[in-house]
Amino acid sequence: MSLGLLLVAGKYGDMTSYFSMDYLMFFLPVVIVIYCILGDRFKKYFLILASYAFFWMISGKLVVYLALSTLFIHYFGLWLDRLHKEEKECLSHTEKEDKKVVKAQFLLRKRKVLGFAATLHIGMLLVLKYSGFFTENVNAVFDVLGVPVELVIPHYVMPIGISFFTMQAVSYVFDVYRGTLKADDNIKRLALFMSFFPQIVEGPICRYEQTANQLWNVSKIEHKNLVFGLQRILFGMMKKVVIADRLNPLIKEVFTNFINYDGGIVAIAAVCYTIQLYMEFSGTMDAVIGTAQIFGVTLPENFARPFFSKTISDFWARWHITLGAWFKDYIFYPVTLSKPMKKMTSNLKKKTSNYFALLVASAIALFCVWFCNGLWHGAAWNYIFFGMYHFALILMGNMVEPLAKKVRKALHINSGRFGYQLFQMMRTCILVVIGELFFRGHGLKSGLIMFKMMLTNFSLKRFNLQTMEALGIDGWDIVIVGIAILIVLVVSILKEKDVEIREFLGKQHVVLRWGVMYGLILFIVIFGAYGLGYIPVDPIYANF
Amino acid sequence: MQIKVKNILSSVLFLLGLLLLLIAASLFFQPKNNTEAHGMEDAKANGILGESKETIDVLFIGDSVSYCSVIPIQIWRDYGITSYMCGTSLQQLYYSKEFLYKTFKTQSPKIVMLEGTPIFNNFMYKENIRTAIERKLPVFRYHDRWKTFGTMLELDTDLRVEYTHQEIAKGYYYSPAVEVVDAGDYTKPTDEVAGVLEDNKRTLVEIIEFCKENGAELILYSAPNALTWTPSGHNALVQLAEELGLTYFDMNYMPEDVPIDWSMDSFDGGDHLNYAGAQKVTSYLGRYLAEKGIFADKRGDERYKTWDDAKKEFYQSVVN
Repeated sequence: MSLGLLLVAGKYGDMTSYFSMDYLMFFLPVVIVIYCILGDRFKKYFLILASYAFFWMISGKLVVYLALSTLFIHYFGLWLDRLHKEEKECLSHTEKEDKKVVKAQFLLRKRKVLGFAATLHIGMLLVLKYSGFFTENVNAVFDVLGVPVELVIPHYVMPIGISFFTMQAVSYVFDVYRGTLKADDNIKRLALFMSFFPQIVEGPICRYEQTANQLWNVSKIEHKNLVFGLQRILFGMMKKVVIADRLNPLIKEVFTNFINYDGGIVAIAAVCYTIQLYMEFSGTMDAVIGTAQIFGVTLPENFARPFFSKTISDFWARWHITLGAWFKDYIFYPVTLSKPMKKMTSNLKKKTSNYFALLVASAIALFCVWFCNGLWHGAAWNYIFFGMYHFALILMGNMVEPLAKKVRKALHINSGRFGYQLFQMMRTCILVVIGELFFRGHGLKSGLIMFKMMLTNFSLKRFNLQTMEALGIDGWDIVIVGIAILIVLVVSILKEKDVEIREFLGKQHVVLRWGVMYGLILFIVIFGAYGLGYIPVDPIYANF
Repeated sequence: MQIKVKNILSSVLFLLGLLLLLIAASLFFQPKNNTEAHGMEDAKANGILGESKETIDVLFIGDSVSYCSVIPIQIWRDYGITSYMCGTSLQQLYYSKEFLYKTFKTQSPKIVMLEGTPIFNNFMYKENIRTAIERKLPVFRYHDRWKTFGTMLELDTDLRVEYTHQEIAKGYYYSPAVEVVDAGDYTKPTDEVAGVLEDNKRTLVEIIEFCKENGAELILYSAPNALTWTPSGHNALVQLAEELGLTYFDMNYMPEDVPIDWSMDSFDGGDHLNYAGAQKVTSYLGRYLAEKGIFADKRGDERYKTWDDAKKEFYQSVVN
């Protein structure tokens, strides 16, 4: 190992933001240039090298977790595949009446392998991310019970992106187990699938069949992909640097010292945080998907205009889509389709009604999903509460929907009318903002106090320029954030109407095309919240 | 092939156009004068830009420890040597280097005095690259001036940059307040040697080379500091000075030359010197510089009349 390599190990933590100078002005251009110079057959290998170099630069020796995870799923996959083959072969010369027994034997063996692989990966995540939280709570219980024992709270250094690449790893092994995916005997392809540098920090959480072969078959960079990719990165940068980072001082101050403010300011901070989180995360996804597009790789979308959602379920189908899909495929369905659940549903159907039985079954599965969702975001009670809050909203939505339909019919409300849809969107937004308040709060207690303040001490008396300036946001900041949000809104409406903006722009005269690009770049350069007087804001989702 | 060439050409043209736009925006956004009202950052330290050409003998760089401990006007009063304090809060070496670049454009100081604290203010080498870009394209540093657009239009009558503002205190931060501190035996020697980051060392070497190329001597010193200064840091600076061939002296170990009384000479419990403490440090530094025998006494020289004016104003404003 050369000294140069040692020097960069973990030193470029800034690159966890895909909008950092290190990434955009050094790492990405260097990777693109070398990628272009290399012959087609070397490009994929170079991407593996670049991805590991990237991870090495941001995480140092913790890169070993990624390498081990890849190695494990490779061999677990092959093991499961071999069991599939053995089962097939065994069944081919087994009498019909014995097939059931053979299948059961193989199922048990495959389950053991799957269990081993999942325990290894999820266990590693649990130990690194949750053991401290678990120990703290055990100590709290001991304290309440008067047990004179205090366990030492472990602190582990966690590799960045572990929550994301672990989920990719588990989904791969699960899919091979299910037989929906053939195990990959090419560890290099698997390594690239696991480590592809644009997505390693904040996702999206990709499935093997979505990206592995695309990544393995990369070829020359096409001009259109380069332009479209860069355009998307720029758009994401505007969301992050102009909107999210500019709102940061207000959010930081109010969430830290909420006791100094009234419910009105707390509500404004909650709205601002919801905007910040969306702009930050979706902006980063724009950068991630845009970077992948430069190399001709289409990553799955993680956002689909979530604030146009009419219900909370709809919201979660549009927000962090790949996480929701992962929970659906690997928790919701397995729980719903598990033997005990099927048995319980069938019993309930007989004793009550079809509707009630299915409702209970989905409630149990949803509970598991939202408990995991909350916990996935962080080892703290406010995240678990956040998950339970959304579980309750979705469950209530499911329960109330038949009644709501009847009420709408009785009152002759046309659910297709814009006014009604707008009402639904506003209602969903308010519920989301409340959830984000707990999500951002410093612990569950703070979140609860802030929520109570919003209900009991709500006033907009202090909502004036003077207060905003004291919170680090002056009138000009509000104007610029407003303009930038308007731009995002217009683009979102157009996308909602299936207008391909970049395709449309690409067909326009060069003066207009370049004018729009120059305008966007200057807008970011001039109005971005960076440099003198600004504290860099770490990417929020990189911590999850 | 034709399409490929066309694409490359259009990309190059696009980037050239972008560069021109950024240059234009830089012309618009960069402060046209070195005052706070014009949007100049660290206006006190950047007062150096307003000094008449080729008039500065000695340049001081460092962080707050330095700008609280050296009074250039006192050195002028006592020895007729012109000096300027380009210290800024938590200054890191890449930023110290920036002040060298700026200063040597219009000045040729023979001595550059670097206070040692920034050597331990860690940063990553990439900051050098960032500041180099900002130097060429100031829009990246001063883009936030759009917020004072009205003032900009009022003050920036044209795109010409003309630094005319001269600081009375020449970069010194005046504070007469006193906070008593029990410094204890803070100078107790140790064998430990504090670490200096490779990026800091690399930038220090660049500073040394820059000074050499421009005919200036870099002198390293430590100002009295009972809070953040450490004996292990002292050892590190001794080693570093030896390795890099620098002169180094530490006023924390010179109680006879610099008799700091920690019950009277600091305004914040030992981290920074107040005016009384700064006078003692400056008294020694002035003597040290004068004894080098390389500076003419310019008092009474008509060319340096502004220094006499500044002296008058400075001593009128300070409460001794």
